[in-house]
Amino acid sequence: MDAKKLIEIRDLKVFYKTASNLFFKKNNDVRAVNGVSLEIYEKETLGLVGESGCGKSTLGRAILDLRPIEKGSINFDESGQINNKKGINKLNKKNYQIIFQDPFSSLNPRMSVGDIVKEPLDIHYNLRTSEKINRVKDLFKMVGLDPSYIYRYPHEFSGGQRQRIGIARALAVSPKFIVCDEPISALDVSIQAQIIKLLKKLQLELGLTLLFISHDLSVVWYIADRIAVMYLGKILEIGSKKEIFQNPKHPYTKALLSSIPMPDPLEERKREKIILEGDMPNPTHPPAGCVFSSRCPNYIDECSISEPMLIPKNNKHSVACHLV
Amino acid sequence: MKLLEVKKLNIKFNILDGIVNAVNDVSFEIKKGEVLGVVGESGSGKSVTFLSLFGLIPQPPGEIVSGRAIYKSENLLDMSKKKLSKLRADEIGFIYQDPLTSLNPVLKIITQIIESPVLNRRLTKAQAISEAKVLLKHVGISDQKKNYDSYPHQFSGGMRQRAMIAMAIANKPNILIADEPTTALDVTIQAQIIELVKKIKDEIGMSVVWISHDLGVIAGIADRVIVMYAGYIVEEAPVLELFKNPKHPYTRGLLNSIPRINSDIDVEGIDGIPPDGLKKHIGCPFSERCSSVMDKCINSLPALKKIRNNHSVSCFL
Repeated sequence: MDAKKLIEIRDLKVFYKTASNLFFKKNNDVRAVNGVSLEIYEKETLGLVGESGCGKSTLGRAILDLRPIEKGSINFDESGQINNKKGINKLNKKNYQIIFQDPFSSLNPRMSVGDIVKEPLDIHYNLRTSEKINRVKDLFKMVGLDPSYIYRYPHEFSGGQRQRIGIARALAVSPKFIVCDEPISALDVSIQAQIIKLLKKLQLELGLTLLFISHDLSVVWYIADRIAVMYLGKILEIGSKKEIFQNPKHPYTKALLSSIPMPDPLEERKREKIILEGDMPNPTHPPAGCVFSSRCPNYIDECSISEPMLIPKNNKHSVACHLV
Repeated sequence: MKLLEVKKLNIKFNILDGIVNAVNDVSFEIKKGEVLGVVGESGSGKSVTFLSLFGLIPQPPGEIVSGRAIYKSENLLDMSKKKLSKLRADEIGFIYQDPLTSLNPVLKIITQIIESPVLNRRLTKAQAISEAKVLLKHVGISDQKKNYDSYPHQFSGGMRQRAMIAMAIANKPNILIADEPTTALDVTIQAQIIELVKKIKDEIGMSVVWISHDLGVIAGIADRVIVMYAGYIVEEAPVLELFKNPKHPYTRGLLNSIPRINSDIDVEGIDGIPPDGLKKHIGCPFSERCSSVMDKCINSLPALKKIRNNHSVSCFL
């Protein structure tokens, strides 16, 4: 893969502050993203998977400068850099957009959907109104909506249609990169399929780079080129789609893959499942050593002493585990 | 052995905007000890069907228009409220999608578990508490960190669902109605809960109705599956048959909407949007979205017909 790096993340940490006790200063920050390094290449779709609370959405938002970062840096090709020192955050936001999970709360109910899609054009371009409206109509066609709908309001649309409007809004300023933050998890199965097909088509046609955040591994299989598995603020494994699904190395990835319900009764009953014990630990106090040590079926003493680094096993696959 | 037999159930909701025909001519049965999977998208009537049988939909706006539901040679739909409440307590267990909103936030978990045994089986509080502790241990909640003295907010989503299960099985029900019990949970926790329900089902020998929109989950747990669309049963078959040989275009569409891991088959999805409950159907409710629609489908409603042993479909094709 000689693709050009679009985004390079180095040792990124994003914390959420919790109210500290007046008398005893305790370190109770929620370590949502706790030392993540990864690259995103041009025109690829990177799938970011993990369970709720693992920090995947926070990571997506930090990349778009929507969350202040604690430590580390994010470098963009020519569009700038984000780091934790104030004042040198420079990001050409026109190139970096986001699609949200909930198409019901991410559209302003008081604006017509045409205005919602037009708003980024108002901010980033100096166009005449008629030009903007033509652009909005083109965008509606691009996402499979009737252009005559632009004067309607969000409540007149179904969930799938609203998500299409969210996609049109993200595409309005012709971005290079879009964070898709669980864009289909609020939708019905038959509508999910429509939206992921649309996203895949747009990604190919427009040459977009996507960070596709999801907890649904079968969807990620469909849309992603590479996959990063996140747990408790860390990347445990990253590699090409085929490597992750067919040759998973990390015990967490293995458990995650074995827990996906397969729509095939014979397969589903035959399959050996790895059932993990317990829940994800509290991110204010991650376990010492490996973050997965408290639930790992292959735990050895070393796991709670030292933290395994994310080490490349071959050029398409890196794993953070002492046993691999 | 038939445990429950539902015949021609029709339910509507009278709301400000008009009438929603939520359940239309639905007939099915639950056999003893089986897991009946119910699949459908939001608004397909899958939850309403099962809640209504046990008097759990508010009336008004809900209205059971017609139908019979025979359980132990009595019609549930004619039963007095008091009798129905007693039946729910003794013989039917419920677990819901969102364990946080279905638990009372100001009562300790254990207080909520003993409520029914104390009221209905006249146990003393001490008896009920010791029984509840055994139950909690059984569903995988240990007494570490004073778990037995906790409130719902102190539990994680998976633990809350375990507590709900403990509550549902406290009186050893004949039927457990599980309404999307794992939808709000992560996949690794979902796998834990599914294993737990399977284990308990075998121990008590109860029947389970597992309502879900996730065909993967249904494939793993159900013996027989009902597919619902717009308040109609469109297909019913044993689980192996349904996944190997789906007949209704909607069932096929659903199966083709799920990306298959480790295969390059493209997803197809289903065009259009889910039906508007307010609209009255003359023809097949799926006709607007069906890729093989014919004139006949728009004008008349196909009946649910048996095409072979235990496999029924409502489609002209």
